[in-house]
Amino acid sequence: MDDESKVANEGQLIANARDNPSAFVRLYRRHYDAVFRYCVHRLFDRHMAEDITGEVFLKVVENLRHFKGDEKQFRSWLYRIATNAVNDHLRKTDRRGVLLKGACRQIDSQVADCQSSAEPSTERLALLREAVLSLKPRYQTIITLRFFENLKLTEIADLLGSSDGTIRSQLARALAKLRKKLKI
Amino acid sequence: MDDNGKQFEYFVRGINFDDNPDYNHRDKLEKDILAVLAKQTQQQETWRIIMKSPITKLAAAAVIIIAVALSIIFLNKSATPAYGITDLPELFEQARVMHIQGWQYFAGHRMPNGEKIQPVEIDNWIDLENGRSRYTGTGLSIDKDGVRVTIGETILAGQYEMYLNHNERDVTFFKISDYQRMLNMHYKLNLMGSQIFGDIEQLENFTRVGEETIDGIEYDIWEGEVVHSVTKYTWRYKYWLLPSTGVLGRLQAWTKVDNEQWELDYEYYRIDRDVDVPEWVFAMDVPEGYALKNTKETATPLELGGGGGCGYGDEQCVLSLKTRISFTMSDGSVILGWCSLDSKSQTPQEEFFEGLEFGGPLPELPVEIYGLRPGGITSDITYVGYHLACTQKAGKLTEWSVYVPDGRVPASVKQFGYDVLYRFNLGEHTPKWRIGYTVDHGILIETTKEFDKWVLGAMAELSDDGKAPEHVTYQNVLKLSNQLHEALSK
Repeated sequence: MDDESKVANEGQLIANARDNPSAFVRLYRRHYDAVFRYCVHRLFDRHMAEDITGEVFLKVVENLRHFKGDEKQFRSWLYRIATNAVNDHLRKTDRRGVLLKGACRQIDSQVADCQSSAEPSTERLALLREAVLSLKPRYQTIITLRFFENLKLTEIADLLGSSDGTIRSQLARALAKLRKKLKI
Repeated sequence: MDDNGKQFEYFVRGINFDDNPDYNHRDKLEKDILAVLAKQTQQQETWRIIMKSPITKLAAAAVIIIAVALSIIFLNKSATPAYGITDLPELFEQARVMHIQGWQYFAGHRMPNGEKIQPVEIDNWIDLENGRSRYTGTGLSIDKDGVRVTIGETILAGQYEMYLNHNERDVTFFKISDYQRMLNMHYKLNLMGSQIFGDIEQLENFTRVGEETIDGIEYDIWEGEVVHSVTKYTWRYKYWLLPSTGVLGRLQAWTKVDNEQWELDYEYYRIDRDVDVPEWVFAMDVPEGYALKNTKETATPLELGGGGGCGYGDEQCVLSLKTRISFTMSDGSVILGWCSLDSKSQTPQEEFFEGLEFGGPLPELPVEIYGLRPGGITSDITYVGYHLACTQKAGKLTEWSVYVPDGRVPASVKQFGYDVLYRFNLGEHTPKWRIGYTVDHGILIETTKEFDKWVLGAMAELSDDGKAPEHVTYQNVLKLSNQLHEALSK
């Protein structure tokens, strides 16, 4: 299937999914991985990421009839819902501290498990988690979208409703903070 | 991509992170979604039926009009606040500079003539980025002459701590290490956190009770009570919160006094985050009229040893017992650094530490902390002590021990710490009296990183070579305390 017909199919699928449960399930299966990965990259916790992924798709169920965009906008819309859900989760429950601790605990056990095999990657992951989770939610979002989801600056700007310039300077600030924390 | 981006990308690329979805979860969620979709379809069907009939259509329209009218009446204004009270801890957690200014009122205390005690102005700063703080501490000393307010102010910056005794009007300088500065900042941060929030966990029970305009700015007023988990002592906090920014315009803490009346204990009229710090705050200038007890050049090096202690002396011995520092591990076990001396004894300190093993019996120092008990409450739990390591600095030896509980640890230790159980190892000689003392809960250690930073940091601090013993690691200590805990439970 060429790209154009794939896009056309996706557009059709979104339209059908508004009032056809089996179309919705196809749409859901197509995007589940991306949403889960985004959430786990933001939260560094698989269980929380699964919970938030659930929340995201239930929001999609609730609001799909009001969504009027194309397939590209649908992807952005999904990221936006996921971003809001993750940020809400972090903000509402003062989870950042808990997450940091959770991330460290997870990592500590991994570090302990891996100590004998001298796996430096695990320690680096622990550092990365702690550094990213210490950033403001906005910076966390930008870092995740840029480096884990490989989105371009313009795509991030569209998604977050900002200009390219704003995103560029926020990304630079976030990176400077990360490099300082990670000592790289 | 710029250099920062490339470096970060390179760092990320070297990490293996399992981000693969679990398809069991996907399938389970799919079922939930289908259930929601089915319900939604059913509701749509019902709606279609209602809208088909002119009578039910009219009734439905009437219900909607009434619902809208009621929501306009009862929902005060249309906008929902952007920041609520539970958002505040995160905002403060992100702050690099914090400042609180206000008054300490000493609720529940009176002068002998019944008059209220003169309030003390508080102006506290924490600059996390640069490891600096300025903090006022107040106390009440009650004696035959009446009630006396004691006021001390500590300014911490660089390698010095300046202590201003506002009662005696004198100034003392101390020299501090990086570790002590870090520890001090940690305690100050916790202190400021508890002064602002009481207990973060209980903020969820707070409610928005009204609005008030201060200096032309309209704040939401949030109010709630914080109950101490053990003493059940109640505080009432009142916050003036600007919903659009999360700025706190005012804070009051009330406490219930003897006659069951609420009395204002302290109030902050400035609570700032990330403001510019005026130069005077950390300048360490000696106020006019204050006597210098020493100078920076002659500053006394501050020793790690805030953990309490006791002493005893008679014609045969002069004993001292000092706890350097305490930590509580995530499994409830406690790590203490402590030392004991009999300055009349001829036995070299080193002899007490010969042949000790990790996880073995403690050294039989003149006064030996053999165990702990939960402080402040009656409990059957005993913490049994085992040797971890020994460090030496400037001829002084510090014993590092782990104390493992023989049962379920009560939550109250967080507030009340631990009562120290000690015995005298003086042969036939028995001291005529003893005094009890308590060590605090100390920093909670839940990760390798925290262990390395705080526990190993303290050990390094009390070693001549600035290094902690290599055999002491988070995993080793946890493993040991688990084994000992199991053995004790049997």
